[in-house]
Amino acid sequence: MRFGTARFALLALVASMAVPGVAAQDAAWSTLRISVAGAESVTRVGMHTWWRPTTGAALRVEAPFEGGFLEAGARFMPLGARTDAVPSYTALLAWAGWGGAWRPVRPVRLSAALRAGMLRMDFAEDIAFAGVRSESELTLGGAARLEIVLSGRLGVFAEAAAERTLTAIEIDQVHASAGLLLRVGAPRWVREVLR
Amino acid sequence: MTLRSALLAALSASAFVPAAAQPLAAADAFVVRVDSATIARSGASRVADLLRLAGAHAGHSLDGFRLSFDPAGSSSPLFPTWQLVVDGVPMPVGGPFDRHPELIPTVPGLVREVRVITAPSTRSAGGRIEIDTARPPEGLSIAGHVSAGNEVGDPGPYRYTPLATPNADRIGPVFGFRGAVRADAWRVEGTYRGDEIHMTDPALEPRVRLLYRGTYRPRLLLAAPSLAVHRESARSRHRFQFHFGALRDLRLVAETGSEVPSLSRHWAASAAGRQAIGRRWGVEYALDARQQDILPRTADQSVAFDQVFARLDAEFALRRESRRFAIGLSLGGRLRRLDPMPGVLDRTVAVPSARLDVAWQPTPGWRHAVAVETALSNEDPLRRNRLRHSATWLQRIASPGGSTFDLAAGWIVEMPEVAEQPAWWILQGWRPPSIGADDESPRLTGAPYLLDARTGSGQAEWTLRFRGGTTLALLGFGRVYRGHTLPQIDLVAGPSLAPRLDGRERFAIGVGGALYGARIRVAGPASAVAWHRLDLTWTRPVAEGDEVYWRHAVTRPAVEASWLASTQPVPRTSILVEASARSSASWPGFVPDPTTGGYAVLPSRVDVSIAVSKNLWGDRLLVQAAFRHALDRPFRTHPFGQSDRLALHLGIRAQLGYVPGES
Repeated sequence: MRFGTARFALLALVASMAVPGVAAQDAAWSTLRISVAGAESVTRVGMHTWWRPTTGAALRVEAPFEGGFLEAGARFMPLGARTDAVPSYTALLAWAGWGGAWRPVRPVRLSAALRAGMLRMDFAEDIAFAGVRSESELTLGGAARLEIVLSGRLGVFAEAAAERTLTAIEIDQVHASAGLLLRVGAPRWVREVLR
Repeated sequence: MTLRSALLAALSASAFVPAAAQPLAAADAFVVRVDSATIARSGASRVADLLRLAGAHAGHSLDGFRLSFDPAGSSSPLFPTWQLVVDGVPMPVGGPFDRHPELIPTVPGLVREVRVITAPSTRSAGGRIEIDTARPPEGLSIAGHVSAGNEVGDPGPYRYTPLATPNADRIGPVFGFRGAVRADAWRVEGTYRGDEIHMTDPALEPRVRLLYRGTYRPRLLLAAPSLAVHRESARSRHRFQFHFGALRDLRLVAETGSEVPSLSRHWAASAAGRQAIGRRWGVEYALDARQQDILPRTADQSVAFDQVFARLDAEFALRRESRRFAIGLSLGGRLRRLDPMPGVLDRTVAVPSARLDVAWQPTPGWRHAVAVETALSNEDPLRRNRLRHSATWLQRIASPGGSTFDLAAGWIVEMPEVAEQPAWWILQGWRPPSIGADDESPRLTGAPYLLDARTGSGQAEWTLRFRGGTTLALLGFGRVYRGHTLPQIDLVAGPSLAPRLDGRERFAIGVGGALYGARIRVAGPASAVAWHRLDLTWTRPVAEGDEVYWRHAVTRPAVEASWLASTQPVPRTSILVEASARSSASWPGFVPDPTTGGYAVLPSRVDVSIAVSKNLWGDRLLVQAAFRHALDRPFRTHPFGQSDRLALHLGIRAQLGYVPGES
């Protein structure tokens, strides 16, 4: 199923509406929300005719910023070849984003963000294709996230991220991820650098 | 500003160009400035980026990297009537024997200020581009930037499937680095610059790939280290610099419209300085030696490309300055060695010269300058007149409200051996780079003998200054050219089985014409946290029946607009937008399809770039994301040239310093 342009735009719009900070804001750079997660591709697009995505892993760091928060993250996901005609490859998405958060009731926190990043694909082939074994591509998207705080510092979360990779044949995918998050005060040197 | 203070200000930025030959725009007339903050926020990392920010027309580019300059519409295409000055030292670029523009000895990302001056000086009728590199702070310091551009439109994983599409460009990593030690009057700086562009334009790739041995792709690789030692005090300034640059290039042979994979190596050593003697006297010296080798990287034996060009410029000047007068007497010489066919032709030409520069300011608001130079060489038997002369004139009329009206005029006469016109070198035995069988001796057409290249320049600018800091400038300008030498392009795209273009080398002598234009510029704060500059330029060439001039002049868009805006929506976070638009342009020398004939036409085009930057750790770090060609429309500046598309550049800039004894 191709994730349509209209749905992609809708999700991006929802994410952008959340950008102005609507939750009580921590001081800029005062805290870090570090999360680790497992990730799955939940859509089936044209390229999945040749490749089967497997479970991946993601790491994300978020810090309060003017108007919401800034985030940076990376997601690693292997894709296995379904046929011998193509090589397997690993996809590493590194992104940065800007978003906002909302706390409707304790201990729930909702957030959304716009993201831009690079998707690097490393192909497991013996002979380089035209001299290179990897490709990098611009990827744009948005994400919505539900967090439940278990204690002052620890929580769990689930996230849905819609992404468009701007290859010649654009690849629209939705990835779902879930995992643990840790909220810590930013060390002084980190605040100093980020400020 | 008195003449003396203007001269001293000019001297502080120059240890090479005699103050009396500085451009007229010592004040703020005819000048566009780009500061270091704008450069950093834009993500500029190449010389081409700096000129684009300054509103200097980036001309055409066949390979997406090399470009011709046309600052503020002040030059007609291919008439290099402007001068590029880097840290006070003139840098000839753009000519057949000059270095690649990106090989000038500076790190573009660390530039302190760029000034585009459209007023004439006695050394450049079309104006001047001045680039000042930022001085390092006291103590030990490092500064640098690195960025990489990711492209769109690659096949991605589909390249292994039946849905495969051609690959897209890869840009970068682009980086520049400077390590420096500064103590008292001494300063030692080491820099390194690297750059990569991997091009995949289907229109370009077949032409280039044909010339490679193996399956190389079109690409440009730049590596350029330099080392400089400075000594400065209140009364003297001295500098020695060594610079090396290597560029694996797709060297543009404009006359044939083809790219030749080549390796350019450029060595340069220069020493320049000034020493004040008493209150009014001073001496200046400058030595500049450089050599450029161009080697083809191709298996095609029909490519005649090897060239070695060495030059030595020396100038010693004695000057006297007073409140209203400055006079300088320079003795110098030029030594040129051209070795286009090793073992066959090794030509060395010496041109000693003497020059007199005089500038005076009879009343405030006026400034005049004249210069007379004669070459003592008798190498060229075809010429008799050996006197180069130039003059400039400026008048400023300031109204009580702060608005100003400035007039500037100038003319310059260049001797062929000084201007180094290709035709003069052809007479010395030089053969232009060529491809294919049609490489017989280049033909010269037009006048039966070489002429002095004469350029006249005139312009007027009316600047209105409004409350709040906004300025409105109305500029009208005209250039008249006589006696120039131009390549005559006669190029036809070959049949489909021969992707390389077929061209012919001819040079026309005695080309003349005129270019007239007008410009409107609005600049100033748009709000408390925003600034912008809008330029709208209109130009009209007048060929006066000279077809060669007309064929070159109409390649310039008649209408150009550019808008540069910068804002800080939140503290220490900035957004910079560059937008430009150009009208369509004709390229009569390029016929895309011999069966249908007609000119190649570049359609009108719009380009937008957006850069978002965040300062970190005070001002020591800056992280950045920049969208180039954000409209994702193929952006081409030459009918057969590289096409650029949307790309995201991510980068970081750093400036770190350490002063011994301070925490």
